[in-house]
Formats: sequence, C-alpha cells, structure tokens
Amino acid sequence: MIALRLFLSSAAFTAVLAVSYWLVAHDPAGTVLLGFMTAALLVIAGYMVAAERNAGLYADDENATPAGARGERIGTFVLHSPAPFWIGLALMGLLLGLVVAPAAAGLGLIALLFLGALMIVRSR
Amino acid sequence: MIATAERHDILAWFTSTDHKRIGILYMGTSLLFLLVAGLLAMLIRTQLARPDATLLGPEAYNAVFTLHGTAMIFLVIAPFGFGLANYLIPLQIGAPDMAFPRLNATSFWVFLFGGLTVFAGAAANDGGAAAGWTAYAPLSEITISAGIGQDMWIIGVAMVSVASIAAAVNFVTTAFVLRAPGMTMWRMPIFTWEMIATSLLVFMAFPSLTATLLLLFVDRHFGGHAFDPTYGGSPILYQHLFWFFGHPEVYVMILPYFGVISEVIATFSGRPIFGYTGMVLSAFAIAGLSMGVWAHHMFTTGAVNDPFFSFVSFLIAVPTGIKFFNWIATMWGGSIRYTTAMWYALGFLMNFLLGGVTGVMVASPPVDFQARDSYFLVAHFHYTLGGGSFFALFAAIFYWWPKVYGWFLDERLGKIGFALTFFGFNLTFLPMFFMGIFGMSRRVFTYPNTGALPELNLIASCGAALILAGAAVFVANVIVSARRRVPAGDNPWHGYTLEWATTSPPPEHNFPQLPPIRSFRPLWNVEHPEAPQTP
Amino acid sequence: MHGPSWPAVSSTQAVALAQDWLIFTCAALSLAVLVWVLIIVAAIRFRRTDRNPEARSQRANNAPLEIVWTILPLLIVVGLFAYTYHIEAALEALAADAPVQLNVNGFRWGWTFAYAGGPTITGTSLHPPQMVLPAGRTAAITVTSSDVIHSFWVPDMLFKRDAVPGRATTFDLTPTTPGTYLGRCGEFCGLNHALMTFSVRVVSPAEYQRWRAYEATQ
Repeated sequence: MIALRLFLSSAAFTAVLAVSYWLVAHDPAGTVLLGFMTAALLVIAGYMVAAERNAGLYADDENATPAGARGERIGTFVLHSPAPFWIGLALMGLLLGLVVAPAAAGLGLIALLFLGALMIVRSR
Repeated sequence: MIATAERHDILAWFTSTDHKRIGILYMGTSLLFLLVAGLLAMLIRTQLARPDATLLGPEAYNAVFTLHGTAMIFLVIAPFGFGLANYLIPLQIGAPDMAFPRLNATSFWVFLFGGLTVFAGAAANDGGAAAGWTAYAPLSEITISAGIGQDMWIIGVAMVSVASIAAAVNFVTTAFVLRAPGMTMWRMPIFTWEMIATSLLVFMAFPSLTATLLLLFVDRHFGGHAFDPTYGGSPILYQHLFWFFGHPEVYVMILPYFGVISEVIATFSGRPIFGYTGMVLSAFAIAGLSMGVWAHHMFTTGAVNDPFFSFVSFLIAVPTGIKFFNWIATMWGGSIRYTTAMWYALGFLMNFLLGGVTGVMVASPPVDFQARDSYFLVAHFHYTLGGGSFFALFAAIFYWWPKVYGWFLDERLGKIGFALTFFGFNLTFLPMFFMGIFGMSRRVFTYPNTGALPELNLIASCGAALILAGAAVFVANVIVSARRRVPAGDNPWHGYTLEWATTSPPPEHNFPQLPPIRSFRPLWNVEHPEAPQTP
Repeated sequence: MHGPSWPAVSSTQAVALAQDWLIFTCAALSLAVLVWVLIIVAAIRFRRTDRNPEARSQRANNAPLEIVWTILPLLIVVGLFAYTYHIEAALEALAADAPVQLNVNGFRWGWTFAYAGGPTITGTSLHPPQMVLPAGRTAAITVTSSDVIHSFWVPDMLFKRDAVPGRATTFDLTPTTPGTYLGRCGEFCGLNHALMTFSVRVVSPAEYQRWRAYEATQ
C-alpha cells in the first residue's frame, strides 16, 4: 500500500505543479515536461495496484519473525555473471561507433543482441 | 535459495553480481575519479593563484574545468552514493542481495565505461569537451565545438545516465520487495528512505538528460536543429530540458548524504534519529519540490516566469531546515563520541548550512542577477556539494569501512585529515563569495590584476593546497591501516541498524541469522528486550 | 575605471537590487549564525565525558517543537518571497518611452552597441568597446547574440541579462553616478570568454549630447 500511495501522491503533486505552472507561466516546454512526469508516475502507480494486490509480504507484518518466514522462497540470487561486463563494453562500442567507426557500432549492436539472448536463455 | 559458489580470484571482480562487491567497485571507482578531478581542481587553482598566469592557456583551461565539473558531478558524488546504497540497502533491510543482481552489475560496468569514454574524450586530438559540464547549445553544437571530444562527452554522460536509472530501479524494487520479516517500510533506516527518494528523482530527471543528450547528438550529426535558432530551434529549450534534469541532479547528489549524516549522528550521539517521520517526509518534500525549480538557473535569460521558480525554490528551504533541526535535536541530550566520522558529520553541518542559506539568497532573482555565473555561485554550490556531500562522503567512508573490510582506518590520521580538509575547504571557498560580488565571472582562465581579486584568489589557492594535503593524509591512512589491520568486529561503533548485526565483512548473502525486527533500531530492541517499542 | 571591488551601485535599478542583497544577506547570515550557535552548543555541551557518559533520554520526537520549526521557516520564506517579488516587479517594469534606445549584440568575442538613430560602437577583447550613457536618463537596452549565449554584465550595477541568439530581450538601465564601469561577459562562451569585456561610461546629459553630436559627424 505504501508503494502505491507514494507514487499516487507524487503524481498528484506533479499534477499540481504542472497545472499551476501552465496557469502562471504559459510555457509549453516546462508544462510538457511536468505533464509527462505526472503521466509516468501514474503508469507506475497503475502497475503498483496490480503488483501489490497479492503481495502479502512477511516484511509488512509488524510481528513477523525470521523463524515464521522460514522456507519462504524469495528468488534466485546469482553471485556471478559474465554478461554485465560485456554489455557495458558493447554499449560503449555501439555508441562510440556512431562517431568513430560504423564497424564498431555494428559489432557493438550484434554483441548486445547476443548478450541479451544469452541472459534470457540462462534465466530459463 | 540457490547460490553459485563465491569466487575469490581477481577475475571474480569482473563477473560478480554480489551487491557488496558492486558497491565496492562503484565506490572505489568514484574515489579514483575523485583523485583525478581533484588534481584538475589543483591545476585550476594554480592557474588562478595569480592574475595573467600562463600555466594554462584558455583552450586547456576550458577543457580542464569542463572535465573537473563533469567528473565530480557524474563520476564521483552521485556514483559514490549509488555505491554506498548498493552496499548498504540490502544489509539495512535484511535482504540477501539486490532484487536484480545482474542489472546491478550492468549498471556499474556501463557507468565505468561511460566515465572512461568521457576521460578518453578529454585526450582527443582536437581538444576535449570544453563547453562546461552544462554543455549549453549553441556552444556545444557542431559548428562551435567541432571536435570529437564533445561527442565522447555526450556518449559518456549518456551511458552514466542510463546506468544511474538502472541502479535506481534496483534500489526501489529491493526496498519494496526484499525487506526482512517485520521490517515494515516505517522501520527502514533513514539512509534507505533517502535512497528511495533519490531513486524517485533519478526516474523523473535522468530520462530528460538522456533525451537532451540525444537531441544534441542529432543536432550535431544528423542534421537536427532543435537548439539552432537560425532554423527555428531554441537555445532556451536546451536550458529547460537540461535544467529539468540538472536541478533534481543536485538533490540526487545530496539526499544520500543526508542519509549518511542521519546514521552517523544518531550512532555517535547514542540516541535515535530525532523526528524519524519528519526526516522521511522531508526527503520526499525536497525531492518533489526539486522537480519544480529548474528555471531558477535561467533567471538571467529574461525568458522564464521568475516568481514561480523563485517561490518553489524558497519552499525547499523548509524541509531542509527540518532536517537540520532534527540533526541538532539528535545530538541534544546525547553523549557524543568524536570519531573521525562524527567530525566529518559536524563539518558537514557547519558547511552545508552556509551553502543552504546562500541558496536561499540566489533563489531571489534580484540577487541572482549579480550572482549567476559569478564566483558567488561557485562558492554556493561548492559549499553544498563540497562542504556538504564531499564531507558526508568521508563520514561514510570512516563509518562503514570497518564493516566492509573488518578492520579500522586509523582515527588519529583521520582527524588530522579532517582538520586539513575543513580548514582548507573554508579557506578556498569563503573568499569566492566576495570575488563574485566584486564581479569575477566563473569559467575564466584569468582575471584582471586590480582590486582585491589577486589577494582573494591567492588565499583560495592556498586553501586548495591544504585540501590536497588532507587527501594525501587520507591515502596514507589507508596504506598504514591496511598494514596494521586492527580488527573491528561486528559492531565497532555500537550502531543499532541491521548492517551491524552481521559479521565484518558480511558473508555471502549477508545474514546467516536475522534478529527479530521491532523498530527502526532492531539492535536496540535486542539489547533492551524489557523496554517498550522505541519511539 | 571602477574595477573589481564593492559594487558602485551606480544606477537606480542597482539601488533596489542592493537593497534586496542587503535584506537577503542579513536574513541568510542571521539564520546561519543562529543555527551555527545551536550546532556548536550541542556539539560541545553533549560531548561524551565522565559526567556525560551516556545519552540522557532516548526520546526522539516532540510534536509541538517539530510543528514550530516547520511553520516558522515557512512563514519566513513566504515573507522573503513577497519582498523579492515586490522588488523584481518594480524592476521588470519597462519605461514607456526611454530617451536612450540601444541594441547590444554579443559575439565571439566582443560587443556591438547600436544606438537608435545614432552611432554603432563595436569592439573586441583587444580593444573593448565603450557604451556612453547619460546620467539620470533611462536607457532601454535590447540584448541579443549572433552566435552562442553571452551575457551583458555590469557588476557595478548589480545586473546581467543573457544575450541569447534568436532572442531579443529588453531591460531598462538608469545610471546615476558619472564614472566608467567595467562590464564583462557573464555566460561562458568559449575560448576568450574571460577577455570579453566592455565598459560603460556614464556622463552628464549635456556631455552625452555632445558625444552624440560628435559621433554623428564621424
């Protein structure tokens, strides 16, 4: 609930900012920026409604104990992966390639696609 | 929980997705960037120690201050905060790791390669980026800044921007989803709350930066004219887009450090942080308000509605003031232990206060008409970012180092380093308020040999030498302490948040055993089972 | 020439600006001193000693106090805003028919001053241009740029206005005290930004007329 309230109240605040800014300044640039921000926050808030519906976290129970939560599966936390390093390098290659050498950009793009596929396959 | 085995060879650092390792990588890298950016500052102050000095010509000088500002903002202060958050958030909420370990690691590597791109650009043949860290158009357009250095600056900063957004996603998700049993949102430590507010700001502001950089890149290379007035584009639009990011960015650079100060002051005063709810709400008030003040950087253009931005800028002083009063009230009635970390926190309070009140001054457009782009402004933002964030950064280092490594940094050397840094810092930046009032522009490679400017600049440069000495003492401290390795134990400072409930350093996946969590100071409840819930 | 030192405050606008500076400096400094004193008292009085070996109480809230230190600063900043709004509104008001009309153009790295119905003065960092203005008369100055963003800054008059390419922006300047005042570019514009200076020479109205007449013959 807190997460939803956080994003909803933030969206309400930025909506107020956007409206008052338009009324006071009539500046399209700033109003669009503030408006987009409000929209983005509302999108996240919408997702929160769906996500928090079935949350029921032990964390939110004031009287929960670690023993009481024993056996809860909270996910798989890998400790190593080669992909991040190569993604960083490939992204740099892709972007630099745009100014320095188109060949590097092409290589970088292929590398990124490959790494993405690798990570998806390994997650299965 | 399935876990692959921990590895301890050097290659392990390239593939690790453990939040603690990534945190160390982030913080270590940003400290290395700090070293370089600091040396650039020494170059600047050496050049400006005397009028008409010839150490740096205008071309070199402009590239040097551009790199100094860019590095300090994008590669030091903010990333160190992300690194600290990476290390601490899971420990503070009782989680085994971040929600997205591989995304976390990706964020670091993209940040590193982005930073290296910026620095590589500085070494480009036809000169590095020299349009300031703000890269205003049309100065940064291809017609004026033709070299590849500016492009590499754009690319590097864009990469750092993307990395920051990824990091923020992790922080928020982890804090929402991976808290330990009984760790309700309102029992999280202040540092974690500040990081949530910071992450919210990153979500809202950094996309604007990435978009602006993209537009600039299109202007430069793909025939765009977004910011080119000869084709109907607008330099003012660039400023709107840039500062919509730029102002929240400065709060991204201070909120994590507000969190650090809260933790340090509470522990060393032996009291809980005063006004916990107020601290949380003020963090979000600051974050929210900071989205509505961007054009206070544009008062002198005559192109924006000054009263709107002035009013909202003044309002930010209120939640910031609440934090200050809460910190003082935490110390009040305590029994304060003056460790190096606490000294840095005290220095933070003294320095940031001046930065904050001068911020209220420049929120008044009539003051800003003189102060903008003068050394008054340079003094203001160095007092907040240097006197503030930088001091809190060192408080964080001295406070959490024993947890990260299991041994102490030397306290005596630490205090000597603090004294040098504190006096040096104030000696450097206090005169700059006057330089600005007297009419010295910022971003100038020299200044006239008249009035009080030569003396004031010389004093400032002497202060910079003291800061350098303080940095040297810190490096010596690390080396000396690494040799001695005085063991620290689980909870050397008698802190009450969850990171002190595990070994130093913490094991893989952090907590072999979690204590029950009944308040925002779980270890206090463990220590005082007979006492009622802490306030 | 009046160089870098305490601003001469040599225009009517600057008088209002200086007053705003004074009020805000006093407000900022008094607030800072108050809080510095609180910090130092807390830091010294509550340090750990044998007489103060542990914290006296673990009480961490006080609703009335927290309300006071929220409301009071709010009132102060609202008051400061009202004051600054009043000052700026008066400044922004443009005179209907200013006796002197000037177009200023900034370029890399110098300035051009084009008087309406009068001379055009131009100069660069090698030979900075001089703007001549009559004391006591309002000059309507319109600023723009022909390349990147510059800023027309006269520190002695506590004022700058950005010169943005593609945009003309106008402000009033009413010099008061005769003298020569240094001006400089106030927005980073590249290589010789530091050298992009000019000067404003304020003379009596009679002297100004003589100067205009002389320039007309050139």
